[in-house]
Amino acid sequence: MIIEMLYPEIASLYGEKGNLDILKLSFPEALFIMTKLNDEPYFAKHEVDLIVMGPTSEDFQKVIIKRLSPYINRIQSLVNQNVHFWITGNAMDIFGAYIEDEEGNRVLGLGMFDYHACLYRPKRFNSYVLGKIDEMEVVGFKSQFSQIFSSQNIHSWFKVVRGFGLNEKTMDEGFKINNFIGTQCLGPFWILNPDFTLNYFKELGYVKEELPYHKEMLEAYQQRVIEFKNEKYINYP
Amino acid sequence: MKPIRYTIAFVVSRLTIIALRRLGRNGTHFPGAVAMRLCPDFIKHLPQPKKLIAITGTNGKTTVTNLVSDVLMNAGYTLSNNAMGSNIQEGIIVTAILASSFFGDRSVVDVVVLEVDERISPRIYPYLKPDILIVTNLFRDSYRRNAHVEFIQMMLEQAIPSHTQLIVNADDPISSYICPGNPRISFSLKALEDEEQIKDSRIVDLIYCPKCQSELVYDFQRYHHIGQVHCPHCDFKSMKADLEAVVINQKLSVKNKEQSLVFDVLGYNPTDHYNLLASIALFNVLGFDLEAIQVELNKLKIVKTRFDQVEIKGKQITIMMTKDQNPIATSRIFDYIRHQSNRRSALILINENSEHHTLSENNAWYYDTDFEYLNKDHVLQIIGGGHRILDLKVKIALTGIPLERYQSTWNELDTAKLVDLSLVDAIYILNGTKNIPEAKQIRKDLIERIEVEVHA
Ligand SMILES: [Zn+2]
Repeated sequence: MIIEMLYPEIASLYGEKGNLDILKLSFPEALFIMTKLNDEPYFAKHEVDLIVMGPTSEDFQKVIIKRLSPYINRIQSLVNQNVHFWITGNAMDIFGAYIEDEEGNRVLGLGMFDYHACLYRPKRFNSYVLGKIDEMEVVGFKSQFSQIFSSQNIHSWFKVVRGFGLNEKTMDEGFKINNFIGTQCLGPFWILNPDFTLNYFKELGYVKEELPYHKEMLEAYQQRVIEFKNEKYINYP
Repeated sequence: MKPIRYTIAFVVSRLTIIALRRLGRNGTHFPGAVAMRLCPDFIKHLPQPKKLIAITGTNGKTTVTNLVSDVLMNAGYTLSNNAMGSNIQEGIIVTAILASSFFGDRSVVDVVVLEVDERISPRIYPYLKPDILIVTNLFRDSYRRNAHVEFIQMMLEQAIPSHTQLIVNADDPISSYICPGNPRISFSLKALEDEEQIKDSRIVDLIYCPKCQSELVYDFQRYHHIGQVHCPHCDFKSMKADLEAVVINQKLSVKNKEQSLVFDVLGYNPTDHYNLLASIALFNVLGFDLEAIQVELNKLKIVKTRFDQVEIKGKQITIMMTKDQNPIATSRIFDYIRHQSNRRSALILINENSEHHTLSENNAWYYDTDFEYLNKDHVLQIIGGGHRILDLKVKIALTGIPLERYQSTWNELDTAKLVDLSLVDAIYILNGTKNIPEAKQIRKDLIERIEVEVHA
């Protein structure tokens, strides 16, 4: 099992390090490659099982696009080979057609998928998300400057029940094609949703019936599901 | 001529302040909201203070604001500040009203000192233009509101007028270089020979050179990105400070180009020294020489520490502000506690319950906070109180802290009951800005328990 974290030193804002914590605890034998911004990605020349990248600043988005541009074909072929990608927050923006800033300037993304992102700084979009993946309720946090728009929503990952999806006008959240998952739900998504995470980690070869501290995570999850369903809680804090 | 709606809003708002004060209320926010309601561009028409000193930055704003205000008042300046009020628009408006003539056409005090939340800079500085701006430091803060450091930096860059004299911390390579065209005075706390570097924090907000994106070298890393850096590939490096300080025998020895003098410290942490240095630098800019600053500072009965600490029958109780949602402030306190290894400690972490009536909480910030620092043999109890105790338990578990050390209760006021007084002799109560009364009540309950249960 080889897991590559792309640029965790800058692309792990807003709690993404929590996802890494549970990943490390669950796969103690795995080889973790922490690729830094000025390194060649490990996946360029090696096989990997999972690639993870989290949210970053808007300036570093542009740098990352430059760093990853030489590997677009390689990334595409990894997606085609069903390699798992877990891409959260505005890291998702990087894989789309372009990112448009508040003045209408566009920076080309990796252009792999049919969506684009628009920035609305200083407006911040905050939300709690309650959604359903195959009848399983999931919860998440969103906190971002960008919204994602797509000409078609056929690849959205799940339906939001409360909160919003890729932009404020849609309840379609995330992007899934083969085993590439992009979501604006921030880390610690895996910690917030232990049953989902157990299934997901099983796809990656996890064999036990529970995650480390599964019981504790499940209790917190159950409380949060109740809270996120309750209308008394304002959804845009 | 000021527009009539401004003058009306000004007078109504001032009368509201007077009325609230008659009723014994503070009135530091509401009258500001009234003014903005009656005149949406109210702030544009406020008279420019004769001298405006603003203080911004992630941590230390309030301490520095209080300190410089006290010294200036002692030195005979008439002054208006928002030290007791809010640091967003409403609070700033109230302060500006109190600093102005009855109809709001001119400023009537010598100095206005404003603590300004970084995020609202663009709504303040274009109108109330600071003559001097202290930027204490910049770190990541609330994810919901502040996003990340580069965003806050951008907000400040866009808002700070080009004539504003800056006072910056040379040990913070992010905030010290803000607005490169502006004049600035900087201060630095020199590393002691045996000073421990803290390189194990979960987050560091500056890793790459802002000029060439090479990985920076930390020549000295005090904590997070605070320290001295240089770029191995270009000329970017920490700036040379105008005011250099070093701690000798628990005193702060401060040196500028002309003089060198020793000051009493505010506390024993570097953050205390930085707050003091920011204030000293300000007086230096205002034309006081170091000796005069020393005289004025010594006159103050300042709180010598930001910790509110009592000791009863050998049990020490400390209330510490951690600022909910701020991973850096909380990590700094965890770091302090991990170094108090001569004490057997219990930690009480309480939630800002007041918000829970309308909000859940994004607890992502736990995962950027150095809970690892609490995984020490002398930290015997971690006690959670309030609505996030299940999340806290998960975080404690994932950190590798044995769960036997964790107790919790849904009611934060019950946390005092969970302290094992036979086990611990230092109790830290960590609260946020909105639950200070709860923290005090917990302390009161603990004192009562100690009086009854502990036999000295
Ligand atoms: Zn450089």
